[in-house]
Amino acid sequence: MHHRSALTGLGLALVALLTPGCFLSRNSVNVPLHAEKLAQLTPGVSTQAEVLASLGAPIDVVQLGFRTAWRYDYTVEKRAGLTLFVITLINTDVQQDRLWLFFDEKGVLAAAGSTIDADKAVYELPWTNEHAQK
Amino acid sequence: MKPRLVPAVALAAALFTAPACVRLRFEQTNLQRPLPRATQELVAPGMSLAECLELLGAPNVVWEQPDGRLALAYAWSHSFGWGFAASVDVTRNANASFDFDDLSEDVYGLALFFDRDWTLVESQRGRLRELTALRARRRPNIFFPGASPTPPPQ
Repeated sequence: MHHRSALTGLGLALVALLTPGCFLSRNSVNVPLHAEKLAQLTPGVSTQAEVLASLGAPIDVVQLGFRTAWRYDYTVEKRAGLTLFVITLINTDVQQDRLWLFFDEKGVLAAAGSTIDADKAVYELPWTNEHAQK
Repeated sequence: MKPRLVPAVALAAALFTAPACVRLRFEQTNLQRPLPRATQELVAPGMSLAECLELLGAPNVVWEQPDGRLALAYAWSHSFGWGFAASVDVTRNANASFDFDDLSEDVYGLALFFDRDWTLVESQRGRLRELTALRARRRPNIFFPGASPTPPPQ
């Protein structure tokens, strides 16, 4: 009887010690890109002024001679971790919504490329690797 | 205190205080997903910029090359490792922007090189730092209100 209560106490103590060692965190940078706004952009028609009015200021501008490329992005980072006394295990997944707009010499949209992946960021156990490069 | 309790108390004290001064850390980081190999293989010289963007989505890096040519790259990274003590960073910072001037060793990708008309001339796969090593660096973006655009290189 005495041993059983001691084991129960030990088990509770272990759970109490280990539980605070688990953590999840989520960080994001910038604001999400909305597909409906991206669909309104038309190569050969949309101008820089219209893009600015719709999406706001870009994150980055690359000068390509007289032409330019504008970048918009939204990043989500999800992190899962576990600390067991002196050992910490962490798994971080970072995904992004990204849009590049290429303008011609007259400031008219020539080409656009978008990737909407930010919502694909996942919490993964620290020892798993579901999405490593293949 | 009974002598036989001393080792147990010492062990418990060590376990409770050790995390404050010693830390063993395993960390792995995925920065975006690799482009499927099958999709990469659909890229062929002669494709337009718009066709490449339609097929592959938005690149991570865009930069200018001499004579008005264009290059862009798709990047992804998976890093992992053990570290000892709190001050050791075992992986690169989780920065999804993949700064052109600060590509780490473990960033892989697909680089596309276009001519002046933005038609694909060449594509290369591998470590992105090596693919961009001999390429022109991106010029700084400095704008002055009312100034005309930067002329293309001669």
